[in-house]
Amino acid sequence: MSTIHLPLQRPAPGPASADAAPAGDPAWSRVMLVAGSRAALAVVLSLVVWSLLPAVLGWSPRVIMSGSMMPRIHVGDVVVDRPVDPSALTEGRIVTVTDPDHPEKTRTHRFLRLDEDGRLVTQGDANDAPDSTPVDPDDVLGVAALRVPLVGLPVTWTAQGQLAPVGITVTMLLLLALAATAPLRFADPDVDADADDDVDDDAPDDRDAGLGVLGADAERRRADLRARAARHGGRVVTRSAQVSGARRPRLLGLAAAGLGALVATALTTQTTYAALSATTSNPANSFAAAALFDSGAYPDAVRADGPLLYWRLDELSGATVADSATGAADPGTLRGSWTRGTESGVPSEPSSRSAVFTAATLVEDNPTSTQTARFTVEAWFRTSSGTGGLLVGLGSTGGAADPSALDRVLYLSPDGRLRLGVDGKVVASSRALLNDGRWHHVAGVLDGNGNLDATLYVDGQSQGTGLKGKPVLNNGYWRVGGGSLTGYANAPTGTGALSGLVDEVAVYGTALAGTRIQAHYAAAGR
Amino acid sequence: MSVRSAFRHKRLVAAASVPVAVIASGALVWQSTYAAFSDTTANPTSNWSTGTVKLADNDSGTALFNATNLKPGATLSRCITVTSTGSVASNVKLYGTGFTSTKSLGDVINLTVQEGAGATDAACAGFVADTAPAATVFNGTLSAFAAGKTDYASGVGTWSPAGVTSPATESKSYKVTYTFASSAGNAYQTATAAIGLTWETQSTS
Repeated sequence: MSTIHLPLQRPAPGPASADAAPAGDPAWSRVMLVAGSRAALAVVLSLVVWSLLPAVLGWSPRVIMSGSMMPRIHVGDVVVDRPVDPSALTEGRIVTVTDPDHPEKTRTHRFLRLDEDGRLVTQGDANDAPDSTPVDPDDVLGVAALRVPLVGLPVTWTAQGQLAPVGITVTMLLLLALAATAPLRFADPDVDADADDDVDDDAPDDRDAGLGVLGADAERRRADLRARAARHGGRVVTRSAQVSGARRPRLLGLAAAGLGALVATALTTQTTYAALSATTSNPANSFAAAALFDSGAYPDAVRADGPLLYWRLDELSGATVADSATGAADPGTLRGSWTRGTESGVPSEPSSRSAVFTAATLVEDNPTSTQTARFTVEAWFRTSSGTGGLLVGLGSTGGAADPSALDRVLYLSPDGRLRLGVDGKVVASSRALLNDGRWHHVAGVLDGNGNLDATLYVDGQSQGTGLKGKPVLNNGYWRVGGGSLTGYANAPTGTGALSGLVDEVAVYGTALAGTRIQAHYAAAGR
Repeated sequence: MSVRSAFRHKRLVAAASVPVAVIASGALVWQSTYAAFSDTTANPTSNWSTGTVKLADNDSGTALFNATNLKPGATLSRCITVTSTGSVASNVKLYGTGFTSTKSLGDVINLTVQEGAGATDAACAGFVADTAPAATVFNGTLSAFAAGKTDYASGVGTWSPAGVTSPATESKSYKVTYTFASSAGNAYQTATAAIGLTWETQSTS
């Protein structure tokens, strides 16, 4: 505190920028510049440390790469996640999870609630709706505990290929570093010899190096300092000798430190995404299959009379014949030699199909109905056969074996006439020969009480009053195309295999009126 | 100001700059953390420039398909055009939601989805299928679509809007075709099925 020294500290006439500082005491502008640079650099470094240091605790710093948590978390922020027991999470916290939509990424979003399956529903604050896929609790990586603003920006820039801002940032940091490490040598007026009383003790003792980056007037200042140095006992000589050697190591040191920081950052910091998402929907598309796939004039007329069984033989392949009657409970199986998917016997149903019976039987699989005394059997067929065969009948047994008894039969005799028989007796015959290679619609009806009256219809026309008869077989298996007709007059020989096309076989538990038979035939359009 | 006090002030400034900065950074982190995590509800404001993703479609809220009385062999194509007005690059995926069916009707309805451009109405007027990448992004049963394409990760589609500045838009037309298998048996009579189609876009970064 001695005033004696003060005159010695008078400033020498200096450059225009120098203010009224004592000689050997840096100017205010220089102090502010260096101190400001140090402060700025310290903020940046501290933020980096804040973002990296928690990694020591096992916490995970992650750079936010996208903006769906705006404005709470910005792109380039570092969020430090703390490991968490997923069951202990409270709603509203921000969590980092393995992205269910991009398993190679992580997602940092707000935890809204648990869904009914115990999964986490998440949402980005900036998104209109929750994320479409809930997150399994096992995929929770951590809960956000620290947000360090902006320090991850170089990572996001690099990821986006924006090298210009990265370069600008690196350059600015380098300049800051150089400015901040410039020495501030305070010549303490109280202690003459106190050359080390300097906050910048660690920096190279060289004021020229700091000035070198500060402006174009560096050379002028250097000259000025040399001139001033006379008062300091020629120390400048020593310093000048240090100049060329010190500047390069400082740059190298800064570069090395920067590189080290980069590597440390790269090793400890991961990236996480806050994906923006949006959806648009076309809801409630509906498909409803028709109540009947095979509706049409003829099948509708048949179904209107409530058949017990209705084999349309429309399948294109396979041995199974579906029951198209309402309720659809009596499918049958084809055995032997047959071909499916041939011409429709019914002109009104051109897309319908018939089956070719070469030496085949079609037998009901599991009968569901008990037959009544009154009944109607109806079918379409086309043949040129000279040997005849069974068209439709009720067999006493099912399966592949020939039944021991056949009742309620429609069969073609070798003479070409169609016959209706019950209980081994022919009760009606067609007037015309029907083995003419044309499609014919035939229906046999037994009606009345006690001994029933039989009527045979061919192409809608009654073949006249038949005989009386009474069926004896009430539980059996309906069959088409073959069966031993032993006992019936004019029966085909052997197994009664019909060679021809058969279509639209229907069996009714009622006696259809002649008008209904005619209506069926009319509906067929033949 | 005396020379001595200026000298002290300078030393003080120089000495204090780093500690003050460290404390300031801590305060900044604390403040940032507090601001980000103290809110327990999302409260988005609208004034930022990071970008948006947004999707809309031209269905006017009407389902593409309301198919009734279907018989085997029935088929129909309908188109929907999805428009993106987002400002950032994103990927769009299509998936099914809310699938229901009776009698396994979905097993016998084949679904194809084609990507293309230019459809101006649901009847596919003006639709031109993409050539590269191939237009067809799904071809399988409705059941397979409903079971396998349930979310963004499993969804189908190749469209990647690049991001535009309003009022520009990007759009993609989707042609959806159903075919009721002609081999479907009578067991499927009166069967029903329903499904919602959802397009979701997520930003790529």
